[in-house]
Order: sequence, then C-alpha cells, then structure tokens
Amino acid sequence: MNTTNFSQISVCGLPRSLLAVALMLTAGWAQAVDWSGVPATDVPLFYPGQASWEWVMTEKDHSGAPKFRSGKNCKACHDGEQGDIGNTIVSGEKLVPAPVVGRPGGISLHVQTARDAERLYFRLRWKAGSGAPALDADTAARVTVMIDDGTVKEAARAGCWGSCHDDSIGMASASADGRTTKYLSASRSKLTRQGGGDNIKPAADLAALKSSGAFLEYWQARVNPGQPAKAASGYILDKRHETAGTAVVADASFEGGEWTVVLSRPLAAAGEGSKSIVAGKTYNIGFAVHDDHADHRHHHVSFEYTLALDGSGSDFVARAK
Amino acid sequence: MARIFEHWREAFRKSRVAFLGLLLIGLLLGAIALAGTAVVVESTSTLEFCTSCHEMEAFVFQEYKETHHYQNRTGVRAECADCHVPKPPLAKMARKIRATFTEVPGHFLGRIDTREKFEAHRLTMAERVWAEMKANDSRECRNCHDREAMLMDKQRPRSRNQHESAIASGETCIDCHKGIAHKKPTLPEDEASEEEETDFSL
Repeated sequence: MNTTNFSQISVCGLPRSLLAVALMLTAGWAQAVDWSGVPATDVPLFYPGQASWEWVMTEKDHSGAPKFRSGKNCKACHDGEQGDIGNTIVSGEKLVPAPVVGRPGGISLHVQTARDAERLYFRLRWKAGSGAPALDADTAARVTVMIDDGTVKEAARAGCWGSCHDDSIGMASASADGRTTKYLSASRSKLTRQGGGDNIKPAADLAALKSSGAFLEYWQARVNPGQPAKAASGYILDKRHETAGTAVVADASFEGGEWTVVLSRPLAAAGEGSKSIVAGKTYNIGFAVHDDHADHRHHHVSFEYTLALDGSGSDFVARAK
Repeated sequence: MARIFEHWREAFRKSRVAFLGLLLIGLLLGAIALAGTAVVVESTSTLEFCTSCHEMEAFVFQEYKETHHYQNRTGVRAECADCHVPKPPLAKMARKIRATFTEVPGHFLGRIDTREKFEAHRLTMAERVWAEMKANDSRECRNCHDREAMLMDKQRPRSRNQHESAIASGETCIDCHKGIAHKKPTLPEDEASEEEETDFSL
C-alpha cells in the first residue's frame, strides 16, 4: 500500500537507513489496523467559497441564519445538499468573486476510523482532481481532520465553520495583504459582519480559553505522489498555531488517481494544543481536502460530524482493531 | 297562507294553460338563471378573464409565469382560481359577491393600475390573502397538495423535516410557503433583519 520509493529519499543529514527504519515503523503502525473490517462512510465535501461564520450568521446573506441561531445545526437542513451547494458556488452564482476554474463543486471522501490500545486512526480516500490552477506548487494535496472535545460551542453546530471568518486570507473582507489565518470567535473581543479583525483578547484571556479546552485541534497530511506524506498538527484559537514536532503520523499512497491517507496520533494528549481522546465522550469533527494544489480557502469541506470511541450514537465510532 | 293557495287554485281553474304556461316559463327562467350563474361564475374564474384586467396581466401574471405553479416538469398548472377562488359552493359564491364590491370597483377606480400604486398596495393585498389562507387551513393549497397523499420519504431531507415538524406543530401550508406564485413583499420584520447584524456569538 505504501508506494514510497526509499532510494529517492534524502533528508538533510539523516542517514537513509535510519529514515527507512522510521518509515517502516510508521508504516507498520498504519498497517496495524485491518481496515477491511472497518465500516466506511462516504462523506460529501463541497467547495465553500467565501462562506464565513459571519455569513452563516447573517439572515440577509444566509436565509437559514435564524434557524441556525435557534439551535439547528448545518446538517439539519443541508444534509444531502452538499453537491448542489458546491456546484452553485463553483458556477460563480454566489460566494465567490468569479466562477471557479478547474475545481469541482464536490469531492467524495471515503472515511474510516479505528483505534488500537494506544492510537486513534483515520483512513481517508479520495479521487484526485486535475486542471485547477496550482495555488500551492509544493504540495499536491492536503487532507485535514479538525477535532473539538465539546468545548467549542460552534463545533457541534457547524463543524469547522467556527474557525472561518470573513477577514481571513482570501475571504470577502480580507485586506489585500492580509494574512489572518483561521481563528475562533471566542478569541476576539468584538466581531462585526467583516470578522474579528485585530480585536484579539489579552494573552491572559487566551491562556484561560486554551487551558479550558476552547480550541480546535487539527491533524493534516501534506502529500505529493511518490513522496512520503508530511504530517502536521496544531490548534486554532486566536490564529492557527502549528505544532513543531507533531505527534501525528501520516502515511499516504497514490494509486489509480486515488489518494489513500492514514492519519494517526496517540490517544493521550500530546502536549499543548492537543486533546486527549477518551472513551465515553463525544467529539465533534470536520474534514477538509485541499486537492490539486489548492491552498487556504480553496479546499473542499464537510459539515459537522461526531466521533466517539464507543457506543452507537456518533457518526463515527473508532472501535478497537 | 291558505288564502294564497285559494288564489292559485282559482287561477288554475280559470285557465290551466296560462297557469301551467307561467309555471313552465318560470322554471325555464330559473334554469337559465341557474345555468347562467354557473357559466358566469366559471367564466369569471378563468385565467383569461382574470388577466383581462391590466393590473393583473402586467403585474401578478408576469411574476406567476416565472414560477412552478405556471410551468413545471409534470405539466400540472395551478391557475388563478385554483388558489384564489374557493371550491365549496357557498364559499365560492361568497367570494364572488365580495369581488363585486371590492375587485370590480377597485379596477374601475384605478386603485392599483400603475406599477407605483401596485407596489404600494402589494403588502396589504398579500397579507389579506395570507390571513384568509391561514384562517381556512390553506384550503386552496390542499385542493391539490393533500398531506395524506404526500410520500415524505420521497422528499428531500430538508423538506421532509420541515413538513413533519409543521404537521406536528399544527402549522398550515401558507405559514412557510409564502411568495411561491407572486413576488413576496418585504415584511416589516424582514426589513429589521436587513439592518447590520451585530451579534455573532451563539
């Protein structure tokens, strides 16, 4: 399954043999799970354009805003509509400054999740697209899972949308040279229809939010055909903080035009900005794929889903394998 | 009462032909009046008649033509009377009589005969119709859209959820399905929502 060509690997200074052993160990972890017995869900992802949190919450932009504010989550109305939504957006009809060239309205992400004694695994597969203008020349694709442990209010209702604001890079209210990344509303002292801007709360408030678990954790695999996957992780609070020395391991292969990526991490929280994954708790998760050299907002995203290690009430249950 | 019968019996005895002739003529006139009423009621309920008034043809008809009730995949058309003229006979007659004293004078007085006047009255007219439909549990909608005949599992998830919760909460069709055949006027509460949103927290 792992099509890495070892003879092409060279990582500054590290002997290839050591790297080969490390990679075999990680591959071993990935292959510790027998995925053939794990139930799969095809999660419909769609291109979201410039649909920000502020857009979702504004009735004259999004007629479902009152229903959303009153307690309905996105899927309550929009489940099954992901394809139509994505196609409407890429056609240029709304939420984008111009029709989108070369990117489909939707991508189907085949998702499996499992655990063993120590780690949580996600196995993610999708058909790669082509023909879009390359926005990130260095990375053919990325796949991301975002995780909340129930603390971030927006996550249960709208998945990752709590982190997407109107003034982030490439969004409708971003300044021309703005580099604002994802952030949570709770990190801002004031939000307007244009986002939270620079109204960042004092460091002490942010620290309190962080220690209470009010942040979103993300795991990401950055992949190129024929190369080992690069794993990344971090957390989102006042901005996206990428963790140096991630505990997430990524394994990827590209066959027949289809990516297969396994992301895994120890269940126990691995340092700051990560969450302990325990039994008996429901987590809120969302998925995103930056396909065909996409970057920033040009990903295809999912609505909100739930994850647990046991029970039967969640969309995804990572059972021991 | 007895005296009237006496008079009739006398008239009958005086001339059977005249009496029966008069009766027959009376019956004939009655039949013509009845049939005539039915013909007039039906012919004043056609799309052609309704749109013979300029204000209907130029404003509401053009909006209706863009909607599914005018043209759709299955070719089932709901015309003016299907939604605006009740089917039960008494209700139908009541509506027709009312039209004689509202729509007809309104037309001749030119109450909504320009775009500006029409738009100024749009909300009032819409609210009147919505109130009537709500009061009769969307009777005219249910002429065609029978809840018993709805296969919920063939509807999209969003429609199914909305219909199930509407049935549970006792709502009627017109509560949600406003502006489906004519342009929906901006309601005062919608205008309020067009002001700048200020609270983005859940």
